[in-house]
Amino acid sequence: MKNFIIKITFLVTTILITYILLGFLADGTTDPFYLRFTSPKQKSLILGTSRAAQGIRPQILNSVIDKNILNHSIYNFAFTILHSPYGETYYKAIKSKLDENSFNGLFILSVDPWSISQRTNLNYDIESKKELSKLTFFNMNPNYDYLVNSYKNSMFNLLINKFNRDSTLLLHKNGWLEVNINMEKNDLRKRTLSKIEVYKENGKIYEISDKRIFWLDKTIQLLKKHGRVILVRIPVNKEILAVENELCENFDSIINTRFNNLLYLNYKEDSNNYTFIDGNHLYKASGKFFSKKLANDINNLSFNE
Amino acid sequence: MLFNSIEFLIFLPIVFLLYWFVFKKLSIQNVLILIASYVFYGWWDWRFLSLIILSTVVDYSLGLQLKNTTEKKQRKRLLIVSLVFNLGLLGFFKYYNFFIDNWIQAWESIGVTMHASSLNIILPVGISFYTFQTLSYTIDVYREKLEPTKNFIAFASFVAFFPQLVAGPIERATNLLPQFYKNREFNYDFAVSGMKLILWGLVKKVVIADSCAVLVNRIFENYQDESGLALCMGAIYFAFQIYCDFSGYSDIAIGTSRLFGFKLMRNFNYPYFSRDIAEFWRRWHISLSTWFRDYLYIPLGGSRGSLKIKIRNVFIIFLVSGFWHGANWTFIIWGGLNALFFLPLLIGGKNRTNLDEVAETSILPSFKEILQILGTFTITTFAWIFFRATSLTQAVEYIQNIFNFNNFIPDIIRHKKVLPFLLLFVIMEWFSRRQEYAIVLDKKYRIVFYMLFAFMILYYASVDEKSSFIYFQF
Repeated sequence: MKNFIIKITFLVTTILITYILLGFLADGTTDPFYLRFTSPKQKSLILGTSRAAQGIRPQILNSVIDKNILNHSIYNFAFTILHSPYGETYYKAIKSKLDENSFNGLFILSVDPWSISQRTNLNYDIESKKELSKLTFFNMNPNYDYLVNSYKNSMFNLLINKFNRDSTLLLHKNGWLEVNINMEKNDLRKRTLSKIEVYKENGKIYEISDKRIFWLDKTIQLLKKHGRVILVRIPVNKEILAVENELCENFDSIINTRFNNLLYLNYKEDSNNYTFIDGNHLYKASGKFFSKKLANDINNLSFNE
Repeated sequence: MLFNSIEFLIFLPIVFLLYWFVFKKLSIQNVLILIASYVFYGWWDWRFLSLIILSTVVDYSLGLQLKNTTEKKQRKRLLIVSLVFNLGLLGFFKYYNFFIDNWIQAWESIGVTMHASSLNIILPVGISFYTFQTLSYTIDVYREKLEPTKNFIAFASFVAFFPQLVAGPIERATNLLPQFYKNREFNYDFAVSGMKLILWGLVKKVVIADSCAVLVNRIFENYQDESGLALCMGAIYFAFQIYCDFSGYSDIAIGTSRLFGFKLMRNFNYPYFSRDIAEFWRRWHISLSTWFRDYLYIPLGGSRGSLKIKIRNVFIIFLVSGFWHGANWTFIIWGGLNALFFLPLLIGGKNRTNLDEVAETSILPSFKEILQILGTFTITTFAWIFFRATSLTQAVEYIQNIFNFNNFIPDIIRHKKVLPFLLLFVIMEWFSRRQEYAIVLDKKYRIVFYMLFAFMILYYASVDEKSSFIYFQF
């Protein structure tokens, strides 16, 4: 028995140590989410779907926004339409990421029809089967909870990634997702057409959801206890906007009516000023420009306190 | 709880240590096994534990009543109660919707509209396995092959024994139940062989079956757009997927039980080296095949009687076996095909010709044996298409598309991740075919191999939902 236990312990220990060491190799190239679960709790957050994840750069907001509005770093905690539409899952994740002892934060919530819509062909919330709902620990580095339960590849990929980096997606330590993609005209058009198709198809199976609006409200009420809340509608190209309008033409009035006491910065008509990687997401250079504009507009807001 | 999950990796050592170091008394060990088994099952859905407990109580009570009854009629009645209860349980949870849907369709085919509604019934994991296990107990007690037990904990532990509860092997009460009465002592060699089986089972499941699953799913989902060659490969991959998935589970189950001093029956014996379909069925899912043989085929008359009777019995056994797998015509056709393949051997009296080991005295098989093995593998794989397909239409179209020679394009690129492993696996199995499992290695370099296997498992392990075992759905 002793011999058996020793051998098994040796085997298990070797495996455990290997796993533990591999965990230290995880970084911004691991996947588009991991790094966001390794940072400490945050006082200020950028929230929303992939438009915000790619389009709003914390570094620029930190440097441009007045210190009396934002006196510490803001963190991008936005994911994707599948992972972080406003709902119970995202609410719980935000709660876990939020520094509950801070009261002077700034919270930028990106909103659009998709972020408060529900799929009609499912009888459950799509995000309830994804990473955010599986996690228990949101602020652990290395985050073995994520690597074991949510990381889609083998942990040995973390080692392989070191030698064979895919530079397309790079998640920064401040939560901003940098996308490096070929912007050659033909490719860009192909991608845009394909994205428009995807959204047209989505339009058939999505509808504005009272439940999601309820959770957006609940999220806002939570964040208000810890600072200022601003709603933002990030620009998209005209074709995507047209699909969006089909899904919910009166989106802006829903937001203005339901959240009339909140500041709402609406950039939906600004598409001509920006370049998009697929019509839906701002290209990183445009994201930089948009983030500056957003920061300046925030500086010009008068907060009623 | 899945064998290839973190939860099980934590659960198993805890139970193991409690079993050997804390609770050394037999009766307490049995209680521990019972609690552990209920935790293991309840991890999936605790509500369905009530079914296992109900099944346990019913068959335990019937066993005791059979002991106290000598009157034939009364004994028969008690057996019928067990059959009705267990098969009723299975029938309701597994086949209710199938019968309702087919009933409606049958009436609609003659122009009569029926208004019966299907229920949204969840299939309890492992129900096909533990109902057959408890049935075997009652039947054996009825036949007086087994003394009914008064030890409820031992019986409940036998029914719910966690290593094999969810997907077998379907143990006979005559083999497993007595092991709960005897003091079990830790045996180093036995436990080591168990660990090797667990390791090999995980290699089969995580490295081979799950790798094949990715391609199989892709090919079967897009069968209308795939080339004929890709469809052939899809069927072959599925043959390996289901073998490695299921035999992998069995290996882990047998290995895990050895850690606790239990010996379970063998469930697979290198079936893809079979030289005819009869040999295949002696080597594939042995615990189910022999269950049907002993409790259905032989009572029906088996191989005795006229040729008509023999043919009828073969068809019954294969169709029932197909139906046991699931409430879908695809499984019934799969069973029927196997019966058809079996028929020539039965008629020619050749169904028991290959009882020896293939290439018994040589390293490599003879040319004749190669042809026999390939022939058997081909017809088996052909039948697997029906098993894997979601509907008869899909299966038929899939087969039709294979023979679309205009579209028979080689596509090696996507196969390069899987094919080398399959070849390596076949070679390993071939050279181990006389052994109990395929990793009986030389002492000098076995530790290197074991570590290599362990890291392969870790490398291929993913959090993909496809990694649950196929046989959990049966």
